[in-house]
Amino acid sequence: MRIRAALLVGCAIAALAAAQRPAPAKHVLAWADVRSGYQHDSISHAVATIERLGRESGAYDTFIRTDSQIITKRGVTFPSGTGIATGEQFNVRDLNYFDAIFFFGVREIELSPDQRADLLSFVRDDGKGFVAAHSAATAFFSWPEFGEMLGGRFDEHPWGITGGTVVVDDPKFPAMRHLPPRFTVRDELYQIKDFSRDKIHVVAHLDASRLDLTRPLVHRKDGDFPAAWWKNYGKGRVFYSILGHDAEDWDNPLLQQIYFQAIRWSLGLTE
Amino acid sequence: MRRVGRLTGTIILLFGLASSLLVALQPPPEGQPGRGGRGGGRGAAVRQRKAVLAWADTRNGIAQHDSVSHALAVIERLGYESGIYDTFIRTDSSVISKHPKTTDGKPASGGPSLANVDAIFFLGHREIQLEAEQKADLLAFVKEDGKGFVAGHTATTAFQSWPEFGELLGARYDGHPWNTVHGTVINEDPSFPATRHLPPSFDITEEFYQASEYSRDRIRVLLRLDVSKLPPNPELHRTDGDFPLAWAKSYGRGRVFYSAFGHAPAAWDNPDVYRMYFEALRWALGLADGDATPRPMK
Repeated sequence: MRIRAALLVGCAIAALAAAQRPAPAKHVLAWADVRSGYQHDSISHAVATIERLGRESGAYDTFIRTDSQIITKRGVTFPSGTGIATGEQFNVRDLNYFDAIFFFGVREIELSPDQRADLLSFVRDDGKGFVAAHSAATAFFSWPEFGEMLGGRFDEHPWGITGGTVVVDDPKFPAMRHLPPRFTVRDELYQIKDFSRDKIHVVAHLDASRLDLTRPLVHRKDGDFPAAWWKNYGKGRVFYSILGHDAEDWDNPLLQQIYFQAIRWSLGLTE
Repeated sequence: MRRVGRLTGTIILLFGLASSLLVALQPPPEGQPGRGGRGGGRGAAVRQRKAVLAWADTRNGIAQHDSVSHALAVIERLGYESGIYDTFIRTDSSVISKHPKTTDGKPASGGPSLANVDAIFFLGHREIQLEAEQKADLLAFVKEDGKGFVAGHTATTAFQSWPEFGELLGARYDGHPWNTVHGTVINEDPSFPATRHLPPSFDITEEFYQASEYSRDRIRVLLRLDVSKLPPNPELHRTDGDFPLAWAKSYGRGRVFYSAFGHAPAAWDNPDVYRMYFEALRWALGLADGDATPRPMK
Protein backbone atom coordinates (compact mmCIF):
# COMPACT_ATOMS: atom_id res chain seq x y z
CA MET A 1 0.00 0.00 0.00
CA ARG A 2 2.74 2.33 1.04
CA ILE A 3 4.79 1.29 -1.98
CA ARG A 4 1.86 1.91 -4.28
CA ALA A 5 1.36 5.35 -2.76
CA ALA A 6 5.05 6.13 -3.13
CA LEU A 7 4.89 4.95 -6.72
CA LEU A 8 1.89 7.14 -7.36
CA VAL A 9 3.62 10.13 -5.83
CA GLY A 10 6.72 9.32 -7.85
CA CYS A 11 4.68 9.09 -11.02
CA ALA A 12 2.94 12.33 -10.21
CA ILE A 13 6.26 14.08 -9.66
CA ALA A 14 7.65 12.63 -12.87
CA ALA A 15 4.55 13.71 -14.75
CA LEU A 16 4.76 17.15 -13.22
CA ALA A 17 8.43 17.43 -14.13
CA ALA A 18 7.64 16.30 -17.66
CA ALA A 19 4.85 18.82 -17.86
CA GLN A 20 7.12 21.60 -16.68
CA ARG A 21 10.03 20.73 -18.85
CA PRO A 22 9.94 23.33 -21.57
CA ALA A 23 9.60 21.70 -24.96
CA PRO A 24 11.16 23.82 -27.66
CA ALA A 25 8.31 25.76 -29.22
CA LYS A 26 7.33 24.74 -32.73
CA HIS A 27 7.09 27.31 -35.48
CA VAL A 28 3.79 27.94 -37.18
CA LEU A 29 3.31 30.14 -40.20
CA ALA A 30 -0.14 31.74 -40.17
CA TRP A 31 -0.48 32.40 -43.84
CA ALA A 32 -3.39 34.47 -45.14
CA ASP A 33 -2.53 35.97 -48.49
CA VAL A 34 -5.72 37.79 -49.44
CA ARG A 35 -4.30 40.12 -52.04
CA SER A 36 -6.23 38.45 -54.84
CA GLY A 37 -9.56 37.72 -53.29
CA TYR A 38 -12.21 38.87 -50.93
CA GLN A 39 -10.73 39.48 -47.48
CA HIS A 40 -13.00 37.92 -44.90
CA ASP A 41 -13.43 40.25 -41.95
CA SER A 42 -12.52 37.44 -39.59
CA ILE A 43 -9.06 36.73 -40.95
CA SER A 44 -7.06 39.15 -38.84
CA HIS A 45 -8.89 38.13 -35.68
CA ALA A 46 -8.41 34.48 -36.58
CA VAL A 47 -4.65 34.72 -37.10
CA ALA A 48 -4.28 36.84 -33.96
CA THR A 49 -6.24 34.21 -32.02
CA ILE A 50 -4.09 31.41 -33.42
CA GLU A 51 -1.01 33.39 -32.39
CA ARG A 52 -2.35 33.91 -28.88
CA LEU A 53 -3.27 30.24 -28.37
CA GLY A 54 0.24 29.20 -29.36
CA ARG A 55 1.95 31.77 -27.22
CA GLU A 56 -0.15 31.27 -24.11
CA SER A 57 0.22 27.50 -24.24
CA GLY A 58 3.87 27.63 -25.21
CA ALA A 59 3.14 25.02 -27.90
CA TYR A 60 4.25 27.12 -30.84
CA ASP A 61 5.40 30.55 -31.98
CA THR A 62 3.54 32.12 -34.85
CA PHE A 63 4.63 34.16 -37.81
CA ILE A 64 1.72 36.04 -39.36
CA ARG A 65 2.07 36.78 -43.04
CA THR A 66 -0.48 38.09 -45.53
CA ASP A 67 2.04 37.85 -48.34
CA SER A 68 3.51 34.67 -49.81
CA GLN A 69 7.16 35.57 -49.97
CA ILE A 70 8.35 32.92 -47.53
CA ILE A 71 6.42 30.09 -49.23
CA THR A 72 9.71 28.72 -50.48
CA LYS A 73 12.42 26.35 -49.34
CA ARG A 74 15.09 28.02 -51.43
CA GLY A 75 15.78 31.04 -49.26
CA VAL A 76 14.43 34.51 -49.82
CA THR A 77 16.13 36.90 -52.14
CA PHE A 78 15.89 40.61 -51.64
CA PRO A 79 15.77 43.53 -53.95
CA SER A 80 19.02 45.44 -53.66
CA GLY A 81 19.10 48.64 -51.71
CA THR A 82 16.59 47.58 -49.08
CA GLY A 83 18.83 47.88 -46.07
CA ILE A 84 20.88 50.40 -44.24
CA ALA A 85 23.85 48.18 -43.61
CA THR A 86 24.68 46.20 -46.72
CA GLY A 87 24.90 42.45 -46.47
CA GLU A 88 22.94 42.35 -43.24
CA GLN A 89 20.40 39.53 -43.48
CA PHE A 90 19.45 38.02 -40.19
CA ASN A 91 16.20 36.47 -39.05
CA VAL A 92 15.34 35.52 -42.57
CA ARG A 93 12.75 32.75 -42.63
CA ASP A 94 11.54 30.37 -45.25
CA LEU A 95 9.49 27.15 -45.11
CA ASN A 96 12.44 25.21 -43.73
CA TYR A 97 12.04 27.15 -40.49
CA PHE A 98 8.41 26.19 -39.99
CA ASP A 99 6.80 23.03 -38.65
CA ALA A 100 3.26 23.72 -39.79
CA ILE A 101 1.16 26.20 -41.73
CA PHE A 102 -2.17 27.58 -40.58
CA PHE A 103 -3.77 28.63 -43.84
CA PHE A 104 -6.61 31.14 -44.16
CA GLY A 105 -6.13 32.27 -47.73
CA VAL A 106 -8.73 32.76 -50.40
CA ARG A 107 -9.08 32.12 -54.14
CA GLU A 108 -6.14 32.32 -56.50
CA ILE A 109 -2.91 33.24 -54.76
CA GLU A 110 0.07 34.17 -56.85
CA LEU A 111 2.80 31.54 -56.39
CA SER A 112 5.60 30.65 -58.75
CA PRO A 113 5.94 27.02 -59.90
CA ASP A 114 8.89 26.64 -57.52
CA GLN A 115 6.83 27.96 -54.63
CA ARG A 116 4.01 25.54 -55.42
CA ALA A 117 6.42 22.63 -55.55
CA ASP A 118 7.97 23.68 -52.24
CA LEU A 119 4.59 24.03 -50.54
CA LEU A 120 3.54 20.52 -51.56
CA SER A 121 6.93 19.13 -50.60
CA PHE A 122 6.77 20.87 -47.22
CA VAL A 123 3.82 18.62 -46.33
CA ARG A 124 4.38 15.53 -48.50
CA ASP A 125 8.14 15.05 -48.16
CA ASP A 126 9.06 16.96 -45.02
CA GLY A 127 6.08 15.62 -43.06
CA LYS A 128 5.05 19.06 -41.84
CA GLY A 129 1.51 20.11 -40.92
CA PHE A 130 -1.14 21.98 -42.87
CA VAL A 131 -4.23 23.23 -41.03
CA ALA A 132 -6.71 25.18 -43.09
CA ALA A 133 -9.82 27.15 -42.26
CA HIS A 134 -13.02 28.12 -44.00
CA SER A 135 -12.13 30.06 -47.16
CA ALA A 136 -9.04 27.88 -47.62
CA ALA A 137 -11.30 25.54 -49.58
CA THR A 138 -11.81 28.32 -52.15
CA ALA A 139 -8.07 28.63 -52.77
CA PHE A 140 -6.10 27.59 -55.83
CA PHE A 141 -8.97 26.21 -57.91
CA SER A 142 -6.66 26.24 -60.91
CA TRP A 143 -4.15 23.99 -59.12
CA PRO A 144 -5.31 20.34 -58.94
CA GLU A 145 -2.49 19.20 -56.64
CA PHE A 146 -3.58 21.68 -53.99
CA GLY A 147 -7.08 20.20 -54.04
CA GLU A 148 -5.57 16.78 -53.59
CA MET A 149 -3.52 17.93 -50.62
CA LEU A 150 -6.48 19.66 -48.97
CA GLY A 151 -8.94 16.89 -49.77
CA GLY A 152 -11.97 18.91 -50.88
CA ARG A 153 -13.12 22.06 -52.61
CA PHE A 154 -15.57 24.83 -51.86
CA ASP A 155 -18.93 24.42 -53.57
CA GLU A 156 -20.87 27.52 -52.52
CA HIS A 157 -22.58 28.26 -49.24
CA PRO A 158 -26.16 27.57 -50.27
CA TRP A 159 -27.64 28.83 -46.99
CA GLY A 160 -25.52 31.96 -46.51
CA ILE A 161 -24.88 32.50 -42.81
CA THR A 162 -27.21 30.17 -41.02
CA GLY A 163 -27.74 28.08 -37.94
CA GLY A 164 -26.73 24.45 -38.23
CA THR A 165 -25.92 21.36 -36.25
CA VAL A 166 -22.50 19.78 -36.37
CA VAL A 167 -22.33 16.06 -35.64
CA VAL A 168 -19.02 14.69 -34.38
CA ASP A 169 -18.10 11.46 -36.14
CA ASP A 170 -14.78 10.78 -34.48
CA PRO A 171 -14.72 11.94 -30.85
CA LYS A 172 -11.28 10.34 -30.45
CA PHE A 173 -9.60 12.64 -32.93
CA PRO A 174 -7.59 15.26 -30.98
CA ALA A 175 -9.42 18.22 -32.52
CA MET A 176 -12.81 16.67 -31.68
CA ARG A 177 -12.19 15.33 -28.18
CA HIS A 178 -13.46 18.44 -26.42
CA LEU A 179 -16.72 18.55 -28.35
CA PRO A 180 -20.13 17.21 -27.43
CA PRO A 181 -21.56 14.62 -29.85
CA ARG A 182 -23.67 17.33 -31.47
CA PHE A 183 -23.43 21.10 -31.22
CA THR A 184 -25.08 24.03 -32.92
CA VAL A 185 -23.22 26.73 -34.79
CA ARG A 186 -24.12 29.88 -36.63
CA ASP A 187 -21.70 30.20 -39.50
CA GLU A 188 -21.42 30.49 -43.22
CA LEU A 189 -21.68 26.76 -43.84
CA TYR A 190 -19.78 25.59 -46.88
CA GLN A 191 -20.85 22.79 -49.15
CA ILE A 192 -17.80 20.71 -50.09
CA LYS A 193 -17.21 19.02 -53.43
CA ASP A 194 -14.43 17.00 -55.04
CA PHE A 195 -13.83 14.93 -51.94
CA SER A 196 -13.81 11.20 -51.46
CA ARG A 197 -14.40 9.48 -48.14
CA ASP A 198 -11.77 7.01 -49.31
CA LYS A 199 -9.17 9.75 -49.04
CA ILE A 200 -10.31 11.97 -46.18
CA HIS A 201 -11.31 11.07 -42.66
CA VAL A 202 -14.43 13.08 -41.95
CA VAL A 203 -14.42 13.78 -38.22
CA ALA A 204 -17.52 16.00 -38.20
CA HIS A 205 -20.37 16.67 -40.60
CA LEU A 206 -23.40 18.90 -40.88
CA ASP A 207 -26.74 17.39 -39.91
CA ALA A 208 -28.45 17.51 -43.30
CA SER A 209 -31.87 17.11 -41.72
CA ARG A 210 -31.43 20.61 -40.25
CA LEU A 211 -30.59 22.19 -43.60
CA ASP A 212 -32.88 23.28 -46.39
CA LEU A 213 -31.89 20.93 -49.19
CA THR A 214 -34.25 22.59 -51.65
CA ARG A 215 -31.99 25.64 -51.95
CA PRO A 216 -30.90 26.11 -55.57
CA LEU A 217 -27.17 25.83 -54.84
CA VAL A 218 -27.46 22.57 -52.93
CA HIS A 219 -25.70 20.07 -55.14
CA ARG A 220 -25.08 17.29 -52.69
CA LYS A 221 -28.33 15.34 -52.88
CA ASP A 222 -27.16 12.52 -50.60
CA GLY A 223 -26.79 14.97 -47.71
CA ASP A 224 -23.08 14.37 -47.20
CA PHE A 225 -21.74 17.68 -45.92
CA PRO A 226 -18.34 17.30 -44.22
CA ALA A 227 -17.62 19.98 -41.60
CA ALA A 228 -14.10 18.88 -40.70
CA TRP A 229 -11.65 16.22 -41.81
CA TRP A 230 -8.09 15.06 -41.57
CA LYS A 231 -5.93 13.27 -44.05
CA ASN A 232 -2.38 12.33 -44.69
CA TYR A 233 -0.60 13.87 -47.60
CA GLY A 234 2.61 11.95 -48.09
CA LYS A 235 4.36 12.12 -44.75
CA GLY A 236 2.43 15.20 -43.60
CA ARG A 237 -0.80 15.79 -41.72
CA VAL A 238 -3.61 17.92 -43.12
CA PHE A 239 -6.73 19.21 -41.37
CA TYR A 240 -9.55 21.38 -42.65
CA SER A 241 -12.78 22.74 -41.24
CA ILE A 242 -15.48 24.82 -42.88
CA LEU A 243 -16.02 26.81 -39.66
CA GLY A 244 -14.85 30.36 -38.95
CA HIS A 245 -16.52 32.89 -41.25
CA ASP A 246 -17.17 35.67 -38.73
CA ALA A 247 -14.68 37.25 -36.36
CA GLU A 248 -16.93 36.34 -33.41
CA ASP A 249 -16.71 32.68 -34.34
CA TRP A 250 -13.08 32.74 -33.27
CA ASP A 251 -14.16 33.70 -29.74
CA ASN A 252 -16.04 30.42 -29.42
CA PRO A 253 -13.83 28.17 -27.26
CA LEU A 254 -15.14 25.10 -29.11
CA LEU A 255 -13.92 26.48 -32.43
CA GLN A 256 -10.64 27.72 -30.93
CA GLN A 257 -9.91 24.27 -29.58
CA ILE A 258 -10.77 22.62 -32.91
CA TYR A 259 -8.05 24.59 -34.67
CA PHE A 260 -5.58 24.70 -31.78
CA GLN A 261 -5.75 20.94 -31.27
CA ALA A 262 -5.59 20.38 -35.02
CA ILE A 263 -2.39 22.41 -35.14
CA ARG A 264 -0.92 20.43 -32.25
CA TRP A 265 -1.87 17.21 -34.02
CA SER A 266 -0.42 18.39 -37.32
CA LEU A 267 2.80 19.25 -35.47
CA GLY A 268 2.97 15.70 -34.20
CA LEU A 269 2.40 16.77 -30.60
CA THR A 270 -0.63 14.48 -30.33
CA GLU A 271 -1.70 11.33 -32.09
CA MET B 1 10.88 28.56 -17.26
CA ARG B 2 9.63 29.61 -20.63
CA ARG B 3 6.17 28.22 -19.79
CA VAL B 4 6.13 29.91 -16.42
CA GLY B 5 7.32 33.13 -17.96
CA ARG B 6 4.61 32.96 -20.53
CA LEU B 7 1.94 32.16 -17.99
CA THR B 8 3.06 35.08 -15.88
CA GLY B 9 3.10 37.22 -18.96
CA THR B 10 -0.41 36.15 -19.79
CA ILE B 11 -1.66 36.90 -16.31
CA ILE B 12 0.03 40.28 -16.45
CA LEU B 13 -1.43 40.85 -19.89
CA LEU B 14 -4.93 39.95 -18.77
CA PHE B 15 -4.66 41.95 -15.58
CA GLY B 16 -3.18 44.92 -17.34
CA LEU B 17 -5.77 44.74 -20.07
CA ALA B 18 -8.59 44.57 -17.55
CA SER B 19 -7.29 47.55 -15.62
CA SER B 20 -6.60 49.53 -18.77
CA LEU B 21 -10.07 48.80 -20.03
CA LEU B 22 -11.55 50.16 -16.83
CA VAL B 23 -10.06 53.47 -17.82
CA ALA B 24 -10.26 53.19 -21.56
CA LEU B 25 -13.46 51.41 -22.35
CA GLN B 26 -16.24 53.62 -23.48
CA PRO B 27 -19.76 52.27 -23.38
CA PRO B 28 -20.61 50.83 -26.79
CA PRO B 29 -23.21 52.66 -28.83
CA GLU B 30 -26.81 51.62 -28.41
CA GLY B 31 -27.63 48.26 -29.92
CA GLN B 32 -24.04 47.30 -30.62
CA PRO B 33 -22.23 44.42 -29.03
CA GLY B 34 -19.68 45.55 -26.50
CA ARG B 35 -16.93 43.38 -27.84
CA GLY B 36 -16.08 41.27 -30.76
CA GLY B 37 -17.01 41.18 -34.39
CA ARG B 38 -16.90 43.77 -37.01
CA GLY B 39 -20.57 44.58 -37.10
CA GLY B 40 -20.58 44.09 -40.84
CA GLY B 41 -20.89 40.33 -40.89
CA ARG B 42 -24.36 40.06 -39.50
CA GLY B 43 -26.37 42.70 -41.19
CA ALA B 44 -25.13 45.95 -39.69
CA ALA B 45 -24.84 48.31 -42.63
CA VAL B 46 -22.52 50.89 -41.15
CA ARG B 47 -19.22 50.24 -39.43
CA GLN B 48 -19.58 51.66 -35.94
CA ARG B 49 -16.14 51.09 -34.58
CA LYS B 50 -12.93 52.58 -35.89
CA ALA B 51 -10.76 50.57 -38.22
CA VAL B 52 -7.01 50.23 -37.82
CA LEU B 53 -4.66 48.84 -40.42
CA ALA B 54 -1.80 47.05 -38.67
CA TRP B 55 0.81 47.20 -41.37
CA ALA B 56 4.16 45.43 -41.18
CA ASP B 57 5.59 44.73 -44.60
CA THR B 58 8.71 42.76 -43.76
CA ARG B 59 9.36 41.34 -47.21
CA ASN B 60 12.60 43.25 -47.46
CA GLY B 61 13.66 40.55 -45.03
CA ILE B 62 16.40 42.28 -43.20
CA ALA B 63 15.96 42.51 -39.45
CA GLN B 64 12.62 40.76 -39.51
CA HIS B 65 12.01 41.04 -35.81
CA ASP B 66 10.51 38.04 -34.09
CA SER B 67 8.23 40.38 -32.16
CA VAL B 68 6.34 41.63 -35.19
CA SER B 69 3.63 38.96 -35.32
CA HIS B 70 3.06 39.05 -31.58
CA ALA B 71 2.86 42.84 -31.66
CA LEU B 72 0.28 42.75 -34.45
CA ALA B 73 -1.76 40.15 -32.58
CA VAL B 74 -1.66 42.19 -29.35
CA ILE B 75 -2.74 45.37 -31.15
CA GLU B 76 -5.59 43.42 -32.72
CA ARG B 77 -6.63 42.01 -29.38
CA LEU B 78 -6.62 45.35 -27.57
CA GLY B 79 -8.95 46.85 -30.15
CA TYR B 80 -11.15 43.79 -30.33
CA GLU B 81 -11.59 43.28 -26.62
CA SER B 82 -12.16 46.95 -25.87
CA GLY B 83 -14.55 47.28 -28.80
CA ILE B 84 -12.77 50.49 -29.79
CA TYR B 85 -11.39 49.48 -33.14
CA ASP B 86 -11.24 46.59 -35.57
CA THR B 87 -7.86 45.63 -36.95
CA PHE B 88 -6.79 44.51 -40.37
CA ILE B 89 -3.41 42.81 -40.14
CA ARG B 90 -1.37 43.05 -43.33
CA THR B 91 2.24 42.19 -44.01
CA ASP B 92 1.93 43.21 -47.64
CA SER B 93 1.53 46.75 -48.93
CA SER B 94 -1.09 46.34 -51.62
CA VAL B 95 -3.68 48.02 -49.39
CA ILE B 96 -1.53 51.14 -48.96
CA SER B 97 -3.70 52.88 -51.49
CA LYS B 98 -7.03 54.61 -51.70
CA HIS B 99 -7.87 52.21 -54.53
CA PRO B 100 -6.16 48.90 -53.77
CA LYS B 101 -5.71 46.40 -56.55
CA THR B 102 -5.39 42.66 -56.55
CA THR B 103 -2.13 41.07 -57.65
CA ASP B 104 -3.49 40.85 -61.20
CA GLY B 105 -4.48 44.50 -61.30
CA LYS B 106 -8.23 44.28 -60.68
CA PRO B 107 -9.88 46.37 -57.96
CA ALA B 108 -9.53 44.61 -54.60
CA SER B 109 -12.62 43.10 -53.03
CA GLY B 110 -13.26 43.52 -49.33
CA GLY B 111 -10.56 44.30 -46.85
CA PRO B 112 -8.88 47.52 -45.87
CA SER B 113 -7.78 50.49 -47.91
CA LEU B 114 -6.55 53.97 -47.10
CA ALA B 115 -10.08 55.10 -47.94
CA ASN B 116 -11.77 52.98 -45.27
CA VAL B 117 -9.43 52.77 -42.26
CA ASP B 118 -9.05 55.47 -39.61
CA ALA B 119 -5.47 54.89 -38.53
CA ILE B 120 -2.39 52.88 -39.34
CA PHE B 121 -0.32 51.00 -36.81
CA PHE B 122 3.05 50.67 -38.51
CA LEU B 123 5.76 48.15 -37.70
CA GLY B 124 7.59 48.03 -40.99
CA HIS B 125 11.27 48.51 -41.49
CA ARG B 126 13.84 49.74 -43.98
CA GLU B 127 12.99 50.22 -47.62
CA ILE B 128 9.47 49.04 -48.41
CA GLN B 129 8.48 48.98 -52.03
CA LEU B 130 5.64 51.39 -52.75
CA GLU B 131 4.57 52.96 -56.02
CA ALA B 132 4.72 56.74 -56.23
CA GLU B 133 0.93 56.88 -56.09
CA GLN B 134 0.90 54.73 -52.96
CA LYS B 135 3.38 57.06 -51.28
CA ALA B 136 1.23 60.05 -52.16
CA ASP B 137 -1.88 58.29 -50.83
CA LEU B 138 -0.11 57.43 -47.58
CA LEU B 139 0.99 61.01 -46.95
CA ALA B 140 -2.47 62.36 -47.88
CA PHE B 141 -4.09 59.80 -45.56
CA VAL B 142 -2.50 61.58 -42.60
CA LYS B 143 -1.91 65.11 -43.87
CA GLU B 144 -5.19 65.78 -45.65
CA ASP B 145 -7.62 63.19 -44.40
CA GLY B 146 -6.55 63.75 -40.80
CA LYS B 147 -6.14 60.06 -40.08
CA GLY B 148 -3.80 58.60 -37.45
CA PHE B 149 -0.33 57.07 -37.77
CA VAL B 150 1.10 55.18 -34.82
CA ALA B 151 4.50 53.59 -35.33
CA GLY B 152 6.71 51.33 -33.25
CA HIS B 153 10.37 50.48 -32.85
CA THR B 154 11.73 49.68 -36.33
CA ALA B 155 9.52 52.32 -37.97
CA THR B 156 12.32 54.90 -37.82
CA THR B 157 14.44 52.64 -40.01
CA ALA B 158 11.80 52.70 -42.74
CA PHE B 159 11.92 54.55 -46.04
CA GLN B 160 15.32 56.17 -45.53
CA SER B 161 15.26 57.16 -49.17
CA TRP B 162 11.94 59.00 -48.85
CA PRO B 163 12.37 62.41 -47.17
CA GLU B 164 8.64 63.08 -46.70
CA PHE B 165 8.26 59.92 -44.66
CA GLY B 166 10.90 61.20 -42.25
CA GLU B 167 8.96 64.42 -42.01
CA LEU B 168 5.75 62.55 -41.26
CA LEU B 169 7.37 60.41 -38.59
CA GLY B 170 9.52 63.15 -37.13
CA ALA B 171 12.89 61.38 -36.87
CA ARG B 172 15.22 58.77 -38.28
CA TYR B 173 16.98 55.74 -36.86
CA ASP B 174 20.56 56.11 -35.69
CA GLY B 175 21.50 52.74 -34.27
CA HIS B 176 21.00 51.31 -30.78
CA PRO B 177 24.22 52.16 -28.93
CA TRP B 178 23.77 49.73 -26.02
CA ASN B 179 21.80 47.04 -27.90
CA THR B 180 19.30 45.57 -25.43
CA VAL B 181 19.97 47.04 -22.00
CA HIS B 182 18.25 47.95 -18.76
CA GLY B 183 17.68 51.69 -18.70
CA THR B 184 15.82 54.48 -16.98
CA VAL B 185 13.13 56.38 -18.84
CA ILE B 186 12.03 59.92 -18.01
CA ASN B 187 8.37 60.67 -18.57
CA GLU B 188 8.37 64.22 -19.89
CA ASP B 189 4.61 64.44 -20.26
CA PRO B 190 2.48 62.49 -17.78
CA SER B 191 -0.59 64.38 -19.00
CA PHE B 192 -0.49 62.95 -22.54
CA PRO B 193 -2.95 60.05 -23.06
CA ALA B 194 -0.27 57.54 -24.09
CA THR B 195 2.04 58.32 -21.16
CA ARG B 196 -0.53 59.15 -18.47
CA HIS B 197 -0.30 55.66 -16.96
CA LEU B 198 3.47 55.87 -16.60
CA PRO B 199 5.35 57.22 -13.55
CA PRO B 200 7.67 60.26 -13.81
CA SER B 201 10.57 57.86 -14.24
CA PHE B 202 10.75 54.09 -14.66
CA ASP B 203 13.15 51.32 -15.59
CA ILE B 204 12.73 49.06 -18.58
CA THR B 205 14.80 46.58 -20.58
CA GLU B 206 14.72 47.46 -24.24
CA GLU B 207 16.75 47.90 -27.38
CA PHE B 208 16.75 51.69 -27.20
CA TYR B 209 16.79 53.11 -30.69
CA GLN B 210 18.66 56.37 -31.03
CA ALA B 211 16.71 58.97 -32.97
CA SER B 212 18.35 61.43 -35.30
CA GLU B 213 17.22 64.16 -37.68
CA TYR B 214 14.51 65.35 -35.34
CA SER B 215 13.79 68.74 -33.92
CA ARG B 216 12.01 69.55 -30.71
CA ASP B 217 10.48 72.40 -32.67
CA ARG B 218 8.48 69.83 -34.60
CA ILE B 219 7.84 66.92 -32.23
CA ARG B 220 6.58 66.78 -28.67
CA VAL B 221 8.81 64.35 -26.83
CA LEU B 222 6.88 62.30 -24.29
CA LEU B 223 9.55 59.86 -23.10
CA ARG B 224 13.31 60.17 -23.07
CA LEU B 225 16.10 57.83 -22.09
CA ASP B 226 18.11 58.99 -19.09
CA VAL B 227 21.50 58.60 -20.75
CA SER B 228 23.28 59.72 -17.58
CA LYS B 229 22.39 56.35 -16.02
CA LEU B 230 24.06 54.36 -18.79
CA PRO B 231 27.78 53.86 -19.43
CA PRO B 232 29.40 56.16 -21.99
CA ASN B 233 29.08 54.84 -25.51
CA PRO B 234 30.92 56.01 -28.62
CA GLU B 235 27.77 55.44 -30.67
CA LEU B 236 25.86 57.95 -28.60
CA HIS B 237 25.88 60.89 -30.94
CA ARG B 238 24.28 63.73 -29.04
CA THR B 239 26.08 65.61 -26.32
CA ASP B 240 23.09 67.47 -24.85
CA GLY B 241 21.65 64.34 -23.20
CA ASP B 242 18.58 64.27 -25.41
CA PHE B 243 17.42 60.79 -26.40
CA PRO B 244 13.69 60.69 -27.31
CA LEU B 245 11.95 57.31 -26.91
CA ALA B 246 8.38 58.41 -27.64
CA TRP B 247 6.85 61.46 -29.20
CA ALA B 248 3.66 62.88 -30.65
CA LYS B 249 3.27 65.34 -33.47
CA SER B 250 0.82 66.52 -36.01
CA TYR B 251 1.31 66.11 -39.71
CA GLY B 252 -1.09 68.31 -41.57
CA ARG B 253 -4.48 67.45 -40.14
CA GLY B 254 -3.38 64.05 -38.83
CA ARG B 255 -1.93 62.77 -35.59
CA VAL B 256 1.35 60.88 -35.44
CA PHE B 257 2.87 58.91 -32.56
CA TYR B 258 6.11 56.94 -32.39
CA SER B 259 7.84 54.95 -29.69
CA ALA B 260 11.09 53.03 -29.75
CA PHE B 261 9.65 50.35 -27.42
CA GLY B 262 8.87 46.86 -28.68
CA HIS B 263 11.98 45.00 -29.74
CA ALA B 264 11.38 41.68 -27.98
CA PRO B 265 8.13 39.70 -28.15
CA ALA B 266 7.85 39.97 -24.35
CA ALA B 267 7.83 43.76 -24.61
CA TRP B 268 4.32 43.42 -26.00
CA ASP B 269 3.22 41.60 -22.85
CA ASN B 270 4.34 44.52 -20.71
CA PRO B 271 1.21 46.52 -19.79
CA ASP B 272 3.23 49.76 -19.69
CA VAL B 273 4.19 49.24 -23.32
CA TYR B 274 1.02 47.87 -24.90
CA ARG B 275 -1.15 50.32 -23.03
CA MET B 276 1.03 53.15 -24.35
CA TYR B 277 0.39 52.01 -27.92
CA PHE B 278 -3.30 51.40 -27.26
CA GLU B 279 -3.76 54.88 -25.82
CA ALA B 280 -1.68 56.36 -28.64
CA LEU B 281 -4.06 54.71 -31.11
CA ARG B 282 -7.07 56.11 -29.28
CA TRP B 283 -5.46 59.55 -29.44
CA ALA B 284 -4.54 59.17 -33.12
CA LEU B 285 -8.10 58.07 -33.86
CA GLY B 286 -9.38 61.27 -32.25
CA LEU B 287 -10.98 59.39 -29.34
CA ALA B 288 -8.78 61.09 -26.76
CA ASP B 289 -7.31 64.57 -26.59
CA GLY B 290 -3.67 65.32 -25.96
CA ASP B 291 -1.40 68.30 -26.49
CA ALA B 292 1.18 67.54 -29.19
CA THR B 293 2.56 71.08 -29.29
CA PRO B 294 6.35 70.87 -29.62
CA ARG B 295 8.43 72.15 -26.71
CA PRO B 296 12.06 72.16 -25.55
CA MET B 297 13.66 69.43 -23.45
CA LYS B 298 12.75 69.60 -19.78
